Amino acid sequence: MITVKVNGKEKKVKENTSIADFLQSNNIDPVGVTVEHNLEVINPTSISKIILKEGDTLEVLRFVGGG
Amino acid sequence: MQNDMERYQRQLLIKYIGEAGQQKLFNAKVLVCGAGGLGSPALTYLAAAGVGNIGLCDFDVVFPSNLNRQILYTPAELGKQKAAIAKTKLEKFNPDIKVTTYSERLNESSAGNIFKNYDVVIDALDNFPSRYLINEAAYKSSVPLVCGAVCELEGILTTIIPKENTSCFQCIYPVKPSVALTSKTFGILGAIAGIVGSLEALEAIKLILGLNCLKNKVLIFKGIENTYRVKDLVKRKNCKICQ
Repeated sequence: MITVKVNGKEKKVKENTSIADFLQSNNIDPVGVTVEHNLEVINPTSISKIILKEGDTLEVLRFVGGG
Repeated sequence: MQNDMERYQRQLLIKYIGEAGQQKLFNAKVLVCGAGGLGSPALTYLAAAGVGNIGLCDFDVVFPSNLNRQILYTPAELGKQKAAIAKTKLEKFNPDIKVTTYSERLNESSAGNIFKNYDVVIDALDNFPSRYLINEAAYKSSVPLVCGAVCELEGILTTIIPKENTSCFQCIYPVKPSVALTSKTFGILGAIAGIVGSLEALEAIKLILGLNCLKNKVLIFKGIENTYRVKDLVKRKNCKICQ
C-alpha cells in the first residue's frame, strides 16, 4: 500500500492504482470532475494512464450545478 | 449618503464597512448571471447590503421544480419571467437600489457589452457552456468574476480577477465536459445553494470594499462533513483564456 493525499486527507491506496481506478473504487463519477495531480490539472484522457505514487497529492473538484 | 441609513445600521458597525464602505456599496455595480438557486440568495443579499446597481441576467421562466431552492419565486409565479419578478421583489425589498434586467440568452458579443458596465460579475449559472462563455467575457472585459457551483451536498467557489491575471475557470476545466451536466443530473438542495449563493454575494461585497477574496484559491464546502476548506488554485500553463 502507498499513502497519497486526496482532497487534503491522507489515504492508503494499493500500489499500481491509476487515477481512474482510484475514482472508480471511491464511487466518484469522472464525468464532470476535474482532477489536479501534484498541483497540475490533468487532461481527462490521462486519468487511466497516470499511476499514483507514494506521497502524491490529488484534488478532485466538481464545479457543477447551480441553477 | 442616501436617506434611509437606519436599515444599514447593523452593518455600518462593521469595521470593514462603516460609512465609507457603505458609500462604496451604494455606488457599486454588480451583475448576477442566473437568477436561480445561486442567484436568488446572491441577489437578495446584495440588495440587502445596499449594492446600488444590480444587473440580473436570466432568460428563463419559473418552473415547479425550481421552487425547492429558488427563493425569489412562489407557486403563483409559475410560467412568468424570472428577471421581471426578481426585479420587482428586490426593488420593493430595498427601494434604495436599482435593478437592471437582461432577459435574453447571453452570447459572446452581448456578454462583453453588458459586462463592461459592471464592477463585478457573479456566475450563478447551472451549465458548462455558459460558464466558459462568461469566463472568457470577464477576462476580455477585465471585470472580476465570482464563480460558484453546487452539487448534491457540496458547494465550490472561486474568484477570478483578470487585471491581476489570476487563474480562471478554464484553468480548472481545461477540457469541456462531453456531456451536459446540470442540477438536473446531480440534484441540488436549497440550503446548499443558499450557502454558496450567499458566499458569492459576500465575495462581491469584499471585492467592492477592497477586502481579501478567493483569488487563486478555491473554497470547497462539504455539507455532509460540515467542512469548509480553502486550497490554492493552480494557474494552468498555456491556458487559452488567462495566459
